[in-house]
Amino acid sequence: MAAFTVISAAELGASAASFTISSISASYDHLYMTISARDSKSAYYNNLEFRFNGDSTPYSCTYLIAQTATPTSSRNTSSEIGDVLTTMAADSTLADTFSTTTIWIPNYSNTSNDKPCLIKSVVPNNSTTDDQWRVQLTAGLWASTDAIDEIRVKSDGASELMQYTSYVLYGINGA
Amino acid sequence: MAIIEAIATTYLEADAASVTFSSIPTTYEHLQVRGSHRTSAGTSGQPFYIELNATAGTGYSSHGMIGTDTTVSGQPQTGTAAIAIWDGTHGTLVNAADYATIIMDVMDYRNANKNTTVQLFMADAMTLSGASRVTFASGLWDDTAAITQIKFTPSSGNMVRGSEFTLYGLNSS
Repeated sequence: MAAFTVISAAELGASAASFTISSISASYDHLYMTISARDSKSAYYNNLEFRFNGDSTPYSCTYLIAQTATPTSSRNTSSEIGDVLTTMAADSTLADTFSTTTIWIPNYSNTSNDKPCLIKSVVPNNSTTDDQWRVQLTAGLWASTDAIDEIRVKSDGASELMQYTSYVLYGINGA
Repeated sequence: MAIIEAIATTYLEADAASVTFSSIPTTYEHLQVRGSHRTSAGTSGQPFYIELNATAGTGYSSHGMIGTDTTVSGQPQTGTAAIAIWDGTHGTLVNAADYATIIMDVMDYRNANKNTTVQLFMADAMTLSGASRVTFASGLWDDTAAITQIKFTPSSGNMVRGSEFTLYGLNSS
């Protein structure tokens, strides 16, 4: 049996507030997703949100972020956020430049455990100015024992994921 | 068709100035390189350069988050002639058997609507107090051309025998 299987892949033909991958089979051990994204907001970056099974609670995230010479760590708890959050490039970055994100969701269909995820994201830019670039690691948690069968990926706020934003969702099997 | 395929592996049987993957096919969705390397220079940490499509110029940028022993820092660079990773490899001041490591993801490497963005995860000089590094970084090439060549070069010295790089292709269907 192949270790990696492509579950879903697409590129946005036009800007959209979000996209959703539904009816995710529970037949894999882990999920791995790659996302290449750019947001329409007039800023250098914006939050990229992951919501599982349409549930807006309870999530928590811990972040390690560099966007200046001094990286920082911070945390959001379930009273503050309704999604797992990472970062993506927004429309003030260099034209045609997309951020990249990878997210690992281990044991996503295990109904005994909450669902952690590990996210790596970069916001590149042709600038060395503080807050005009970002690299970010996120430890996310959806505190639910439900198997994940749906993932919504969304821009934070009123902005949209721009055309050519793309993703691939992989299912990963053990031996 | 396998989702992940090994495109090429280069293992240095003798010291070499650089390692290059050429004629990369445009049939995958993403690329990934996994490497292990050190140099012949009399250094601890030293810069490591990644050049795409044999194009130098000033179109590259990189931004890193770097842990050095007990210190953490951010490292932005732009206008460089390659993706430049500060202390991304090391030389002979580090134990002879210790090699730096790199995992580099190149997403949508053939998408003509996107500049090339890479994610880098690197470890370096792990046994040398004061110079050990863990780096998470981005690299940017301001060009929408499909990536057909990737070249790895240390800032000084040669990459030594035993350095090894493998290029993988990831499919999306």
